[in-house]
Amino acid sequence: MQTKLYEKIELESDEVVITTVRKHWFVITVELMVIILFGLVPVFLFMGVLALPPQSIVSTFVQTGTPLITFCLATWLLMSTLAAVTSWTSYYLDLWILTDRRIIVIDQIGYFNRKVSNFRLERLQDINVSITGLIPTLLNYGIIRAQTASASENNFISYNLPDPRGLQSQIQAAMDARLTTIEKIPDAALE
Amino acid sequence: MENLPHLILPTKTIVTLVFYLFLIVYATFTVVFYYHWQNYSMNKGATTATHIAYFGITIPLLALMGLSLLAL
Repeated sequence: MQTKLYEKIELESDEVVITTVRKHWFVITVELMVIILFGLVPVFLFMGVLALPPQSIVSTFVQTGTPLITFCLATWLLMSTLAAVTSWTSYYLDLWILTDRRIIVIDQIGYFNRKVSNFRLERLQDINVSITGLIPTLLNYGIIRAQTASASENNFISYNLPDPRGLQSQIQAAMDARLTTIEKIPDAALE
Repeated sequence: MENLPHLILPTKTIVTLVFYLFLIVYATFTVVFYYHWQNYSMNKGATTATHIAYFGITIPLLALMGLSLLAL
């Protein structure tokens, strides 16, 4: 399926997308839960204040200054929503694309830091996977590191990818297939 | 310290200024957010759902801010 992203990335002719990967769902869930809890703190405080005895100063202020409190609560909730949206955007636009020729790593860090890197499969040398910690082990997500032979390309490291061992196998298989293609048709390496 | 002029504004003026400042921040944020999703998203469904959720939550909150400002 041809999509906007691939139009931007411009895949080579006959290049096939094997898989696309985002960070593990647990990562964004935790981020959003923290933001939601943070956003609801003043709501809980407000409810706590309402439980105070009616004659207390705070309670009197709550009764007389309701529009101001509503304004502050709405502002706080709006700021929390913007934070949640930023987090979701970073998660969703952060993408890993494995094709039969290369790995495209898109790092979306906030709104003003976007990096798109390409790593040719024939130049990849060593792929390491590490799953560290209780939750990553239980939910099967971790880190993938790869080294490239080319001096012009950097090594890459991607965090919190789901099923990193499966992804490693897919990359190895794609690498082997690519090297076989290049051996059979040496001009393929120039494409 | 005593010779320094004191700037005392009524609460409604301060809240109104905060509201307008927040409107500018919100508008800027929305433009950047919309641009990113239109240009970099690969899934139209996800883009639409995100936009609906974003505007569905933020516009009522902005309206609430405006209404509470009027009630001050």
